[in-house]
Amino acid sequence: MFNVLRQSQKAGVVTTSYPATPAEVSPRTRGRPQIDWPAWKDARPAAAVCPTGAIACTDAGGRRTATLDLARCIFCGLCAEADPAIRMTHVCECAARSRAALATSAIYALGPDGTHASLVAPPAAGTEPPVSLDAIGRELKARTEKLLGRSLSIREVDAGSCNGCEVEIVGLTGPVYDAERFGVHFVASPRHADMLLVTGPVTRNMELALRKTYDAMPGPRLVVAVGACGCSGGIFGVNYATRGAVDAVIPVDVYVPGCPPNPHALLHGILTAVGRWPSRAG
Amino acid sequence: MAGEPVLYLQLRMFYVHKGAEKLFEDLPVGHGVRLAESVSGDSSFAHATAFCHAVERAAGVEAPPRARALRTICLELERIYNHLGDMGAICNDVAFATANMHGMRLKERALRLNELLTGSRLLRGMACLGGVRYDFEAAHLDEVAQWLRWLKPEFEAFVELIRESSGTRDRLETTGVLKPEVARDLGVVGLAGRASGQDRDLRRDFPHAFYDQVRFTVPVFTEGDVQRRLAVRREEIYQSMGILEQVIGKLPEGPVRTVVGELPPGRTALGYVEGWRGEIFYWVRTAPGNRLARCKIKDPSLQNWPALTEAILGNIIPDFPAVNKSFNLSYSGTDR
Ligand code: SF4
Repeated sequence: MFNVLRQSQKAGVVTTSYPATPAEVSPRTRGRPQIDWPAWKDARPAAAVCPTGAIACTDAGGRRTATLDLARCIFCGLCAEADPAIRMTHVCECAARSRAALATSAIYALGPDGTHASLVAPPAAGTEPPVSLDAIGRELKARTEKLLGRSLSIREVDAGSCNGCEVEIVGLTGPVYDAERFGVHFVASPRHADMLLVTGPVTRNMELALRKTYDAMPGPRLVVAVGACGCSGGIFGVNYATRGAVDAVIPVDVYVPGCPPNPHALLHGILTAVGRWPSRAG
Repeated sequence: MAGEPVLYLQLRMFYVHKGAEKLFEDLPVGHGVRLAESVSGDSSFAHATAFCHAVERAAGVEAPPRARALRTICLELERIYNHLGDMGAICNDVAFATANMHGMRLKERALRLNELLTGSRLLRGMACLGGVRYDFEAAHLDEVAQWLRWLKPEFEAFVELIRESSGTRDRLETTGVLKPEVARDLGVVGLAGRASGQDRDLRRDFPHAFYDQVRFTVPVFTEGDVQRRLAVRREEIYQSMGILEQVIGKLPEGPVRTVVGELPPGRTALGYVEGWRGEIFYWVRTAPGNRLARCKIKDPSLQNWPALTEAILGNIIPDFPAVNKSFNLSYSGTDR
């Protein structure tokens, strides 16, 4: 017994002060890729090495539309190796309220050899939809945030993930990230939950279970799609066994990219969903 | 169920089947490495490396010595972070939450070391055909050595904490027994097998990567209860720390990657790795155009799941979480 107390005292407080302080990263940490759009000479090499189609391009009539879709990105860094106009940043907090906000594209005029001659339409970051379209929607959102603002019960659903996301989600309950600091805790039933945290491309075998879980939740309820697979289907995409993104099955409020998103990114996504992300950190 | 003891446990698997094996046939073979990382997320590096072994063998190339050594470092880091987490989690399931918190604290430091070395907390993006993507410089190796110096006394204290807790021992000993005969009949592998007398470890028996260059022992117990599955993890962490020290001590110089050219079609090859859970196999058959005609994956969870149905029999319901956690099998690895 004494040893238990002694060791706890010896370990001291190990909890991060994130998000009051920035995410702790190392020089090799791979966050979201960043493209120098005006300097980008050719989208094809990066698109060829990108394993998930996060970087893609389509040519039509001497023009090329090139897209970077963070919802698909697994932060592997292969594009940055193949193309000097792309670099990997350390930024891991990419959560957004809409799928469209995660995609950025630009249009290039093509030269005779298929490289970019000039930037025709500069990158327009996918636009966030207006927070709510009408007064009722705005009021509903404010009420949800108020209701769920202080204490948030989360039900986690593995709808087909590889369990990499779960490794990091479990980290949220540990002493370092300690989601309980924010009144966030995990519950064992959707009946007790305010938020559904869904991982994985939704497999056809889990589709019904996911729907039923969602239906079993009391309102107001939120859904957060976690990881490249949850946001877009990831490397699995849509195939005979999976339906792909979570929003193909149930409505999603916030998307958290990453493969897997680290605990910082998860906290960012969860707090964003309930309107509690401190404005300092953006 | 009749009262407390479990009379029968039926597994219903394949809810997270996501067509991974078929997908390997559609992707360029290089992209397969990234897919292999997502077959079982807590064994990303082991799966990706087993896949690389298979493809390299089909192509008739071998990763350079330094790459094999770095693969060994990553495989052992993967083993350590999972074992640390599991040791705490098993204690948590018998209400020793403090141990879990210490386990997670130690695991977090391991994940951060992974990120420092490879850019990813789960060692993703590190594996590649023909070697590894990132070299470890002197400063990185220093970090590993420093971390080991930190971990040793911390882990010792963690082990002591669990050992002293008589209540924990009480719950774990003779709980969830998998008898050696049953383990043998079911072909149980990996750490669950070694806790039930199955003295097998690919690292020793068919050395891959750099394992023929290091000395270590394979802990084996015969009681087959939760306590022994915990003990296998404990002993393996000690061994892994020793392996890491040895690899760093004799790290070969040279490139960390070799070119794997266009795959000859119609070849078959087997790649394997002893992951932290047990043996992982990838069998590939190549097709024209640098593609795979077939990729068969076998995660150790596949043949270990039935062991859970045997081990749980006669145990009380409240012990189910601890018994389940002591195996800690992968749904995704099984269902693919
Ligand atoms: S970092 Fe993202 S965009 Fe770049 S290659 Fe990897 S998955 Fe594609």
